[in-house]
Amino acid sequence: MRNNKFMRLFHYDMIIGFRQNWLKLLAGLFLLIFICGVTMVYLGENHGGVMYLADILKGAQEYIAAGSSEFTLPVVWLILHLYILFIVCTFPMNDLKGFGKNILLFCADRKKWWYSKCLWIVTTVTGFILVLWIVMLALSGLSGNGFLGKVAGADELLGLNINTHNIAYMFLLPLVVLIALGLVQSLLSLVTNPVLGYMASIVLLCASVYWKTPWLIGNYSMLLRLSPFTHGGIPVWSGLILCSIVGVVCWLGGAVVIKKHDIIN
Amino acid sequence: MNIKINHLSKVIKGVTVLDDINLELTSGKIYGLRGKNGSGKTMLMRLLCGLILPSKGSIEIDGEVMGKDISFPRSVGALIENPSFLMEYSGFENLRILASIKGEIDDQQISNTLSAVGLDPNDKRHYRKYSLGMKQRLGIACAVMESPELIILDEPINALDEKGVELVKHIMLALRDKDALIVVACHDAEELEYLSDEVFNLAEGKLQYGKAPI
Ligand SMILES: Nc1ncnc2c1ncn2[C@@H]1O[C@H](COP(=O)(O)OP(=O)(O)O)[C@@H](O)[C@H]1O
Ligand SMILES: [Mg+2]
Repeated sequence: MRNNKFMRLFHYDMIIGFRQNWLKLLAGLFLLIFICGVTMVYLGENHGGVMYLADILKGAQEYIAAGSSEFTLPVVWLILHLYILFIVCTFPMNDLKGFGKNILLFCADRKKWWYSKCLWIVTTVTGFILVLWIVMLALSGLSGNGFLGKVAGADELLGLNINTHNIAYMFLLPLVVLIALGLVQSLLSLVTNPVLGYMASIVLLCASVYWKTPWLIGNYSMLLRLSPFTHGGIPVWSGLILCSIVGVVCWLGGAVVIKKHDIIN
Repeated sequence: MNIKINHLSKVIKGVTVLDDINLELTSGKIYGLRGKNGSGKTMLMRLLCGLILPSKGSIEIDGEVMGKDISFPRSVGALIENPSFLMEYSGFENLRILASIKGEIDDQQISNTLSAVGLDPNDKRHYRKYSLGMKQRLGIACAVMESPELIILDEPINALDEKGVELVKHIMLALRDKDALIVVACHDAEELEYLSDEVFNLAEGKLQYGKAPI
């Protein structure tokens, strides 16, 4: 019965979360198609879909201040990440200020309300990343180059080593990083407000581009910083551990915070 | 049900909005809360239904301390300040979503509650298109639909026409006779006197024991 109530809550979050964010989600779909299309045009025609995805997810090489190189942000990578975080940024707190108050009174359980919102973030982020892959799969299918093949030039073109063994990481790492960031953002929104929560995401991502370090979570979402894809990269396992810790701490920390949180409009 | 409020204070952003409130409430009665705007009626009701926590003191419901043993009263329905519902759903759909959380009542009972507050259960219009009075009626329906033991109504007859007021009074008295504990805040002193078994006066966060029980 207890789990049943949680499932009903989650069911509510999925439906209402989707309905209240449909415009953001639709715009997101167009953004994904646009990003994939532009990348295909920019890189040239003769590559498999994975190559284009790698280009979108590659991020930036380590920035070394001493050289003559200027610090530049990887725009496409940043837009993609910030958009996904934007999608999951407002719904939990908006819900708490509005209809969610009723929901809370009816479910009479603050923790379950929070856990359900966390699961909604996990699901929405995962769904959106899946859609990115599906869009790329569809576009590369249409272009006739296929998805997995034609990755031979990745080394010269992108500075990345891509093969059938590390493609899974290409999916997994951005996913865990974005889920962890989504949960951080959401906890900060609860403690302060959604605007500050989102600003924290922006700062964290930009700082990760600037500093190559295993301690800044955004590094694990840049293929150019990861050991399976490039020499001298940061090992994947530390990313998986860090993201898990951050995610779990925010998940459980939010449960503690929400128990003492005053719910006033 | 028995509610004990012991030395309850609430401080928000450095301002004391409720100051050393002591009250004991029992089932089968309607308690009226009176007070000027900003005297703390809504805050007290938020505390009673568990949306906010005391800064000092405690609220005990049947021996369980709110914020410790329970985070919300076990059986509560509330209309606090302005009702907030989902804009893109009808009144019926809004209530159905809420009822689905516990799964205690069926569609027929939701329809009956809507009729009781004078709303048409088959009205397909979205909440967005509701008039102020209709919103208020839906908020009342939401608070009473599961026949909770504790019912909190913050200015329920605001924005209601005469017929609406009569309906709400009728509902409240019927629920009281079914042993519910009802706390109601209201501007209209006359209505409050008529409805309530006891009336309390709040002034700047302090409770003044007002009129004797009717
Ligand atoms: N969201 C809020 N944040 C801080 N103070 C508030 C908030 N809402 C109300 N207050 C303050 O709490 C006090 C009591 O308000 P309230 O309970 O709404 O009064 P009433 O319902 O009796 O009109 C007022 O001084 C008001 O300024
Ligand atoms: Mg008020």
